[in-house]
Amino acid sequence: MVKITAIKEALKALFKPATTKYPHGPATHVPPGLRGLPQFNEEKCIGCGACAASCSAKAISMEDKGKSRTLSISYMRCIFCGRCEDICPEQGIALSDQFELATNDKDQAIITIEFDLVPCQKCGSPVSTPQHLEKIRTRIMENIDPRIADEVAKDLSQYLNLCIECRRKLCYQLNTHPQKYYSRRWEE
Amino acid sequence: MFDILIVVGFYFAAIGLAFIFSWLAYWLFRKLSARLQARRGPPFYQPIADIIKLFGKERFIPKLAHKTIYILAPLIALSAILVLCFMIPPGVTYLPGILSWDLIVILYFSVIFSIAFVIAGWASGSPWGKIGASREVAILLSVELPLAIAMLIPSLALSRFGFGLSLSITTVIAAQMGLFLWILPNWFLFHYPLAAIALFLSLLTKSWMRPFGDIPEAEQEIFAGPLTEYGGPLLGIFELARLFRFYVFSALFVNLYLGGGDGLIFPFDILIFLFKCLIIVILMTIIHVASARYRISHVFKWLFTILLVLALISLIRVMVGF
Amino acid sequence: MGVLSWARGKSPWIAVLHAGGCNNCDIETLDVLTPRFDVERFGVLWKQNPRHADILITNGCVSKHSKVFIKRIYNQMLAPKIVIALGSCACTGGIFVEGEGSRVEETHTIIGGVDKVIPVDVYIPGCPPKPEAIIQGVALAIEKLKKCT
Repeated sequence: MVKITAIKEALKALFKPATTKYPHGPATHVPPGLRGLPQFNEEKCIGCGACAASCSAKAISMEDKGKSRTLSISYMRCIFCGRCEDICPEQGIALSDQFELATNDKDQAIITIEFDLVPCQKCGSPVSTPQHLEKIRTRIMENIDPRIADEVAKDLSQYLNLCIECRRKLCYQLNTHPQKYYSRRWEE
Repeated sequence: MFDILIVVGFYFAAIGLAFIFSWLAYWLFRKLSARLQARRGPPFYQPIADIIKLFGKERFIPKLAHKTIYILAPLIALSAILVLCFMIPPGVTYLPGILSWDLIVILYFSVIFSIAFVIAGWASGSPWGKIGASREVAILLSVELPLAIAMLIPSLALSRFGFGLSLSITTVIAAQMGLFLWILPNWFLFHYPLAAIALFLSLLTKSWMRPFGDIPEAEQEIFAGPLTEYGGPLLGIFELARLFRFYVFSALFVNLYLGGGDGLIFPFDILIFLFKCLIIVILMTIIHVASARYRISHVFKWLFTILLVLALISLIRVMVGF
Repeated sequence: MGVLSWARGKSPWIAVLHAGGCNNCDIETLDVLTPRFDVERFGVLWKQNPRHADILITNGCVSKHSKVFIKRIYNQMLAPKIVIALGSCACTGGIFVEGEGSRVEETHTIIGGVDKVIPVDVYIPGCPPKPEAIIQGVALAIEKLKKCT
């Protein structure tokens, strides 16, 4: 019986091969959720660098140079695992379904996105991108207890534009240290 | 002078016919095996593109190789197979030929063709080549005996059909005209079916097809066997020589056991001969695709027990006159 | 040019070399021989023999052990020859090397991509690449093979 089905299959294949027409036609099967080339969404990306920190192949690198930040994906090194897409808080990076990546020139195989950097108001060293700082402000204001919202908003406007070193140094001087909330008793 | 011109012209025509047939047969072989595996297969110019490409590659001789034999081996193979091409008539009896289409000479040159691969393997100085050559020798030793007996049975049986003792293929073709048992054509296939099976399987083995013949160049085990160290134009000559095997071995079987051109008038006899050859190639291809490769010891056993017994039974029948 | 260039474009024979790493690209390469992606329709033949091959497909990151063998196999091929680096490991070293982004630093066993040892003509990134991507890379290699003198 097995032999008969095998012969039937061979005869069917004789006139109807299963081969796709790929290079001369479109790829027949691109499954939904195919992990192809990762791409930045320029409108949504805030340049926080979470993707670079979580990249398992270290294919995404973040570089601050002068007053601009560059995020670059070297997709010759990417393993298309999708960690960056998972970790991104703003859906600013996503894996497209583009898989035809073969090239003759390795140096061209880089996707970059650039951001301006906000300088620290005290010392002038870069803090982060304006989009990132704005996002931090809105996220905090959305989630904070409304009874201390005004106070926190005031603190944020004071320290958000400082670099991390300066925030640490000036926290008592500006009275932004969270310590002041510790002793407060909430009326339950 | 005029006779020589006719003979020379016939040689070139025979080689041209053999080349075109082998080209299409090799393409059919690859296309059909692709189609049987549900693939699309290569286009028809594939064999010729392969050979042209090989002739355009870098020339190269390995340091460990025996230089003279390394270069001579492909030439020996090509010349042996070209001699075979015009030693085997295209299914007709009326063409001029030297040596009167002698079966012994055909047997001889078919052995030389295999020997060329053996010395190629030994001369190339590579362990894979040597393993391939030793396997080729083992195949050669086991296949030649059934092949020789099965090839000579038609000529031994000629006296039963009212012909004198002859070793010529044309006489064998002439003996196969007419009818057998009122309906069947008077082919040796129907008189000696066991010998026909033995000849078919030994020709299959000689033309590197599975289940037996694939062993010397088993690419999963020993890369390319005797041809491992060959590359460029010398490999191109080998590929060209191997291309002709489709014509030579199928033509041999058709002439000896399938009645050649059946004695029709001029263009039709050659056409029906080529059609029969094509059927043989298709049959070989299907067997090649459908079967797996045997181990070398099993091949030895198979060829020596089954094929030799098949051939010997027919030989005894011929000798006894039964 | 002319006939020879045409013939080279129509019959590229392939050898596959696995340099190191996880072996997945090696398996994925065989997919292009299956009925669905049959590459024999472009004349590609699977010759696991560098002397016969025109195109060498290397996959896997180069370890310090395999460096010597890769060089030897490349030298065994006859001109004109094309090298394809298949997979992210063969292109740059992938997850097996140190350094960020396109700056690759070797570790104590892994050197990096194949292009640190032999000249590479076509890079196919992916982990492993889709069979269609491999076919596209082979098509690029064939274009390059046609231009060889």
